Amino acid sequence: MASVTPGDVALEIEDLAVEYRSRGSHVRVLPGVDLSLNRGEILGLVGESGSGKSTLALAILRLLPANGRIVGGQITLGGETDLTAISEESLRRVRGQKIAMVFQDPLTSLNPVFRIGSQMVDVQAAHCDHRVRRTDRSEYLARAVSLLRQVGLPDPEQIVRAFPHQLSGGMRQRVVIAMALSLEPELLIADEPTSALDVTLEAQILTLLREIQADRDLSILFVTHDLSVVAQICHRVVVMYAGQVVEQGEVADVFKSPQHPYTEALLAAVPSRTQRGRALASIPGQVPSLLGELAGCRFASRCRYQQEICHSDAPRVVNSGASQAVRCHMRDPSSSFDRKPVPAP
Amino acid sequence: MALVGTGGSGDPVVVAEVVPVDSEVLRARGARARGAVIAVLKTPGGLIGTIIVAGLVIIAIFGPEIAPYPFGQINVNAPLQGPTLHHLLGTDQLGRDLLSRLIYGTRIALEVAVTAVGAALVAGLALGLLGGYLGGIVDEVVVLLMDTFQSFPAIVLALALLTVLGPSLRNLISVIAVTFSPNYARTSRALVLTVKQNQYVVAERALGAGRLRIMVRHIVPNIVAPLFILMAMDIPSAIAAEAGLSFLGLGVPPPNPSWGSILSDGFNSIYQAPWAVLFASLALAFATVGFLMFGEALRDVLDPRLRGVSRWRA
Repeated sequence: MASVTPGDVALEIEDLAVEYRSRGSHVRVLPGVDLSLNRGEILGLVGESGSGKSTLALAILRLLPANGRIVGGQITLGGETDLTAISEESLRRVRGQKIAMVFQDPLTSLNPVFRIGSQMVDVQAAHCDHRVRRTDRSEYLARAVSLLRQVGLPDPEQIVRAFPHQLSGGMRQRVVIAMALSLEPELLIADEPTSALDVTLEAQILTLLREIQADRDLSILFVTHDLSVVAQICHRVVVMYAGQVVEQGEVADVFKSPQHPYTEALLAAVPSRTQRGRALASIPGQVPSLLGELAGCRFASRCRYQQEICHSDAPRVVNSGASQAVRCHMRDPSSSFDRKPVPAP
Repeated sequence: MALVGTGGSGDPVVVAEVVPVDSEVLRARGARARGAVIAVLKTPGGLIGTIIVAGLVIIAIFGPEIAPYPFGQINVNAPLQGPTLHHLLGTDQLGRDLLSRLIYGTRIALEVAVTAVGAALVAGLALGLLGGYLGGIVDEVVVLLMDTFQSFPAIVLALALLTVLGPSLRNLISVIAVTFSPNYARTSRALVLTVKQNQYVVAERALGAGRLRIMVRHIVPNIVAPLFILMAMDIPSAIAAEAGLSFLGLGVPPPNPSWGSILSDGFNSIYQAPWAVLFASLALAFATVGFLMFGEALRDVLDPRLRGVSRWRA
């Protein structure tokens, strides 16, 4: 599905470690994440709450809350800039112009005291290199109107005049997307952009994002907990568990034959019509606390295939299946994992 | 006007490539302010308050034109007179026209109160914004500073500062501003802490807005309404503070007339001529009540959540 030319990498994350300070102690929520996003690709980032997917998304633009900080690793944009090392001022130029972000809740993503048009003008004015003149502002407003039309809003001339509270959730999310596109970024980070919307709107916004991606050859990092959304719009998927990437690969392959037991369990937990009347599948246990030292595999205690080695040794990342990279003893030929009781992948 | 329309300007289906720019969007928000003023005028308290405030403002501005005599003109032949046709409110112990002095006093009262409260707002807002938004050590310093100032009773602090600085109009304004500013700093800091949690602040950062832009362009407009209310409610307190300090001789230096100094002069001759005390007190009471009614009406309009909450400080 994805037309990937090797080396054409939009965003490369290497060994990214993030810590949160909590009551004096440091919690390493991301112990060292590796991830790469190719140009013109929609990459899905999935995991349950607390898996660190939003932290990862925020860390890319260094927008972590005050008690969080990046303690190691690199985030390379377009093969050259390391976002973890540049100054706040250079980063300000990356934000919006190179990487834009769309947040979960469209209802609170817009400043309630300004009209839509004035906010969209403001974004463009903030990134203008010279002094902003009146004629510039008229031009920005015209651009705002045209962007609003591109994201499928009817009557954009009226919408620029509206205050956020006068628009519905779906309309506001379109406005937020239009605003994110206004500086022509190369990469869009979408942090659960449809979780606050109903299903019909979700489908519309997803279609919109896919169209925009195709039109502008945009790369999108799509953070979600919803596997069906990933199946609909992503080219590749990265599955996170307790701060670690446990599996990544082409969407079709991951969905057809998940290589990590966690992915398998996640897919099994999606409610389906054919299982009517039966109890909904879930994964027993809970995400381990990151406060203490974690030996072995982080998923071990909830894994249906767990063995002794899973609790003692941390698994390596190995290639497995059609296109996947997996962090699991079960798929590692060099591991002493006893494969006999396990069904072949 | 509605009949002329061959160009089909009202047709919403017309999709023009060149979009006509609507200056309404680029211009700020005038309609909201107009709406608030109308709503204030619709309540009885707001109407009375507005009339009194407007009257005082007019008296203050046109004082020199309205006043029948210069405020310092002494007439030793007519001291301590009651109301007459020549001196509508009588004269003081030096034969100065009381009406003229009260009119000039209005000027000073408003000048001091408005400037002081305005300065308190600006200083408090700046400190609260920095402390609340930046947090950390900056916040600690702001809070410590404000707590230190507030640990003194306001009047004692003002007295101490004025005794050190010496009485003058500028010192009076600065001292009142200093005693009032912690309230603005605390209020704006608390408001900033709430507003900065909003996702649109993170969203703005994600779009490349710098700290200053976020603080000034995005947070301030979200928190000014409660601060304006506080300001309207503080003006009567500031008027009273000015009168009180002038009464004690630490305010506006003579011969400039302040309601406070007129009161204090009047007390010396209250048995011979109670007029000075009576009229100066009335002026003070009128101004305080008028501004308070106006402030409360404004609060009810701008922030209905606070309706009925009364705020009166010593």
